[in-house]
Amino acid sequence: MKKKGFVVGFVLIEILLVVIGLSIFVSAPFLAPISIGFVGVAVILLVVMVSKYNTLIKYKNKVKESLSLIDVQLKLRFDLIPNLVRVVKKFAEHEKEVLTEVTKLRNLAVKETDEKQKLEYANKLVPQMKNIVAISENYPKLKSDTMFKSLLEQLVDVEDRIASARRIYNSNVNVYNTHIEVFPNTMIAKSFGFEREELFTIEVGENLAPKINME
Amino acid sequence: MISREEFKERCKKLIPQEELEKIEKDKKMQNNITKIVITVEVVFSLIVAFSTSFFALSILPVSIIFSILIINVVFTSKRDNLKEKYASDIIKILMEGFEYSFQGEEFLDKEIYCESGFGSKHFDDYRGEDLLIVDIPKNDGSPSGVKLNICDLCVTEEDEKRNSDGSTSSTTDTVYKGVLGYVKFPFKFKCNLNINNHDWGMEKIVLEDINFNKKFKVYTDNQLEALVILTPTMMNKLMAFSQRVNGFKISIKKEGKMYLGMSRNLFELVVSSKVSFDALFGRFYDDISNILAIVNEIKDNDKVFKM
Repeated sequence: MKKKGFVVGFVLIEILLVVIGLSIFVSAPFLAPISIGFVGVAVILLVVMVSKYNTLIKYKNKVKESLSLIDVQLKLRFDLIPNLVRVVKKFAEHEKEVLTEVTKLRNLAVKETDEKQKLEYANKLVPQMKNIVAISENYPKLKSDTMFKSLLEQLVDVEDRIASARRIYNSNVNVYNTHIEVFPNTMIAKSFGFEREELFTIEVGENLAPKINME
Repeated sequence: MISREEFKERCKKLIPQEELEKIEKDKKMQNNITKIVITVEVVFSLIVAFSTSFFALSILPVSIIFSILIINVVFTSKRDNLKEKYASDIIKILMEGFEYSFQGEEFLDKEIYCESGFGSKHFDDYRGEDLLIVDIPKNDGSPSGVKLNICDLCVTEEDEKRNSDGSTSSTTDTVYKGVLGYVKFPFKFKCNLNINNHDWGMEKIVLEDINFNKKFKVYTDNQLEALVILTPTMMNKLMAFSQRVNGFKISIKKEGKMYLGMSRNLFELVVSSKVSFDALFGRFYDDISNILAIVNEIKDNDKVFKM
């Protein structure tokens, strides 16, 4: 009710300004400039209100877009994992524990619909991916396998882009949060249900492995 | 690259002591004459103002500026341009350890200027000078295949106007004046990126650093790939450079090309009354080392997609 109070109050002020303007015009036509002034103020206030609302929508959409950018990169990470596990199994069958854990987390993340929970699984994958890279150090044949090197290179690229997507998301969230907290946007934001977005903690496998030069 | 202090010391040693002393004496004389002229003008204006009309005071600022300009022109024209005498030697000191070539009369092709988008493609006169080509080595000292080409440019356009009396007059408009740098990397980028340049229909992006966003307008056709290039380290280097230089811009193209622009000349080593030798050589060193640092940052960024 409190949230809608601003909207109700705004509408009342608009109506009041227009009514006053029109009354002045009707009762004293020679005071037309003053009545135009009142109506003009009402129009300007309306335009400003609509413009600020649209700006908040724009920034909220940017946050959603940047979240979907992260989603896309995370999907690429999830898609790489089964192939990686298959290749590692060929050479390092005994490392069942790590491979099982990675597969389990990956499957949980893919099936999960809740964003926060999905992100949690995705974050837990990172140390497991680092374990796989560490495993390859003990198996020279695996380390030199072309398919493995290619998959690792793709994974490193994906992790780099998750890091970029995270930066984009964070900067969009900061801009959006700032806009809904400054005056007078804060009143509009509260009235129309714009809420502060939280920064996600997104773990990234940065420097997962040295960049392998395929040349 | 040699250190800044060593560079300044060795450059100063290049110039004979007599010439250094003559330049210092000249600068002092210029300062003294400027002060005397301004004092005379102020006193004269006050006398005229009190004896006739205070209107005389209104032309005082204009006359002071005019006098300073004339004095500067007179003294600068007398003074030798250090660049003409010592440019090759100064660059030799700076580029110690690098493979490079320097040609005072040469400059980059018009095509490169047009591709950069730093200025209008419609121009009548295209001139430049001081082309420096530097082979940038890898960290282990082996050739990387990356060459920085940089020169000073002056691009102008003649504009003919018809006056009200039917005659025509022409004016010369400067389309672009300053530094143009060009690098062709041995790999391709996954996005086009413009920093403080035209948007070319690309999206403006906002980065996480508020101060960076205030200094730079960044446009790209792929935000994700742009941030792979614009790492926090790269952003810091750009910020450091922009704090010393105005009108700094960069354009990166998918074909692996990078263009750098600055709205002042790189190789101007004309001594002025206000700038000390230390500052002069220091500024030249900082410009080149900042540009090389930015190019190196991209060259060494193994997160950039390589094809």
